[in-house]
Amino acid sequence: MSRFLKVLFPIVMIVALLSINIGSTPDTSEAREAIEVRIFVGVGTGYRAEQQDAQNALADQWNAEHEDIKVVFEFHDNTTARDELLTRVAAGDPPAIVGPAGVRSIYETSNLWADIGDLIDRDAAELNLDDFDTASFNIYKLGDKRIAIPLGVYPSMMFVNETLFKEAGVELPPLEYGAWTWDEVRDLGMQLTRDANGVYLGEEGFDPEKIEVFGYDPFWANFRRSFELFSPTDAGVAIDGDTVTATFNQEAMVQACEWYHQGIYVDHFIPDADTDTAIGTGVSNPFASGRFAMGVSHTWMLGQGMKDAVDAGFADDWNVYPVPTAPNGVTTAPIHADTFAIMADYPHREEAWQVLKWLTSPEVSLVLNQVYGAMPARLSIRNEWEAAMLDLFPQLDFDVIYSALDYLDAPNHEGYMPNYAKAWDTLDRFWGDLRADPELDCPSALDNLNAEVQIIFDEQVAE
Amino acid sequence: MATENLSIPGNTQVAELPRLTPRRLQILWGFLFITPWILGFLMFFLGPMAASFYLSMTDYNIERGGDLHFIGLQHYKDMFSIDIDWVDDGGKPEYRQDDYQTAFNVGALYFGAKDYRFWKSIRVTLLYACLLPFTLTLALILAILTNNQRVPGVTVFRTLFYLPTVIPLVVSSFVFQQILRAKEGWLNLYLLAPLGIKGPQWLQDPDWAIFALGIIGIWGVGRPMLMFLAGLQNVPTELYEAARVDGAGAWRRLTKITLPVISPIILYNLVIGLIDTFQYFVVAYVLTNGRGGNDFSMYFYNLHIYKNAYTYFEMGYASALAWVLMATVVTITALIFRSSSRWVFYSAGAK
Repeated sequence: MSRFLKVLFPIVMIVALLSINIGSTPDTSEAREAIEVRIFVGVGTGYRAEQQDAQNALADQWNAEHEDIKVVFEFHDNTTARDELLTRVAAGDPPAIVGPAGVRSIYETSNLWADIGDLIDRDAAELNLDDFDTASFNIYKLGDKRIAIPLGVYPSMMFVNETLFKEAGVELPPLEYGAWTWDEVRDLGMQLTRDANGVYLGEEGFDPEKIEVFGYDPFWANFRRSFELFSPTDAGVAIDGDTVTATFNQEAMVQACEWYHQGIYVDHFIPDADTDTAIGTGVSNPFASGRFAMGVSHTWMLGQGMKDAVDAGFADDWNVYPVPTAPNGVTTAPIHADTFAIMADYPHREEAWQVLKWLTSPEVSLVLNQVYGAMPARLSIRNEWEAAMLDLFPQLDFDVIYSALDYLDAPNHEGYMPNYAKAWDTLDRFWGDLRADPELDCPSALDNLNAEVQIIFDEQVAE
Repeated sequence: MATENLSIPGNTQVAELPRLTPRRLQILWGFLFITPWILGFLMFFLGPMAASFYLSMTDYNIERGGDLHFIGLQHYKDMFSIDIDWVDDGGKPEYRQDDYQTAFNVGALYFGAKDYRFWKSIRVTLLYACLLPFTLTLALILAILTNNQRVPGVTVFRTLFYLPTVIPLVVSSFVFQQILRAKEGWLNLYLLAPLGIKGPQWLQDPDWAIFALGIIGIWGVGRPMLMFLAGLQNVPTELYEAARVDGAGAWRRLTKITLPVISPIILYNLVIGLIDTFQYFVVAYVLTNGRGGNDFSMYFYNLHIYKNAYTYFEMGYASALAWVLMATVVTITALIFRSSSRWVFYSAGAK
């Protein structure tokens, strides 16, 4: 090869490589005009396959009617969604809107959200603020910052597998709030627990190593939600001005700890963490496995897996019942709440706000709440939501569901904590230890936990 | 330097330009061709390392974004802040600082630390590292067995032993989660129960968690086995013949011929194994759902980094942890290489 070609060849290769990157820029003249508003779904509900079609259809409807703003729902599995979101934030590529996001997601990352108080005030008439449930509207006020318009709320109830009750010959729970206690749940749970040979707990030959049906399971729960059912004061976080005191070792918390721990290792009507995980693996939701007679959960269970479980063959009779009353005489039905929030670093705030208003409009939020299983925060569409839910689940007792709002937890169990992420992680670690350590001594373990959480609180307060 | 005098007729003399000799031209072309690699190295390796080192000296928190402050070596001080208390009356230890918590105790001697999880993660990682010699020994045994051509179907065995290494680690972790379940796990149910042995709670009991991870580690002996096999096949056979003639038995041939000749492979597997141990993360994360097991029994160092970075958003502190890990791995590797002159034999005399 001549010297000229030896010199020319590598130059041509380098130019070719560079031109591939420069020359391949697509014609974005049309895309430059339409601002893309990406909605990050997955930190809460909404990411499941059966939920995506309806959301994508809404996006198509918006995009057909708007040329200046393009809406895209992006779905991320819940187990990795938070990490993916934070990675994008750290990389400077935040999505426009995140949701549905629960109270925890919002408080955990409170600095990530845009303050839209001025936009809410500006468009108050269009939003029709009187149509919103006041309690849920105030959940998203972080100090002076207003970060979201509520979308839906998820009251909690006792999900009861009535077929298992009938098989055991046990009377169903009462339908009135305040009519039963956690001690009675324990008694019923023990009557409903049976082993693989069909022998019930308490009968001769019962094998605790091969339990097929458990009387109660705290499925998909965490420390704060599980313990909130025992009505602790201030959800364990006492706020007095700038002073924040952890109270996770108060009496109600000790009672909760001992109830769960005894239920697993002494009375055997609650599965331990290992068994719970095994049963929950491979099923759309643990309640639909048919192996739990009772369990407290929220209305998002209705949108997340129950329909598919029923379609897939879950034929047991089931319904919702009031949560029991705690030993201290107070009944608490912890509530979850979802919303969409605009990310503070997203550059097109006005466009994102237009989409946010659309998401929380009566027509669109009705569809979304049905998909997510949420009770609409907008009062005007609750009847339609109820009718749609009854179409899916005719047996649902809506008196129980609506009455649960009278017992919601305030402050919310997912509410503010200093150094939120670290504190939450520490509390959830305890929840795992409780369900896996037969030797755990609740009073001293909670004392240690409380001391550790107080240190975590003080780290942020000191900054 | 060969130069050419360039001068404009009648006036000034231009500076002398170095002439491009063929040697110099060759060097320039070489640099030109490795420029893409250099750019990649700077952008994706050295650059992020420098950024990470800087961030390790700031209070960078993802949530606060650009609002970060230089704090010097504070993170490193927090990491290594410890206190010791002797408690011989069954009471609780009292440390100098209120925010210190017990990392571990040796009898009545309690060690408290500002970041007690840091010390727990080191303890767990070092415990797991103690299993490395057993894993390498097993790999060597399997390599010796599969090096014997007289074993029927030896190539099939080699394939089977290596096959697990090509299965994604996450998938195999989920499978082992089922195998190691206390009540319905296949190990306890189908292997130990028929022998009348009540299997432990492999993943729940802190005393058995490391052994459970050791069992999972056996799944990955294929790679070091393959390296040992390659080394064994390069041992000169005349050495064995000469040894047999001299009356050396199997054990002496193993210890006096095989092990010295494959000692470079042992060094390689040891170093790679230690690096993998200090980077252990996926299995522990999957098995414990990121929790690190009961009583921190599977709370590895990398899990601690992950928690600080992506759960607590403390990227600055996580960067500092990462640099401590790097320094530790480099130090240990250097010590191993330094010691290798005493036990590694290179047949050509090279080091």
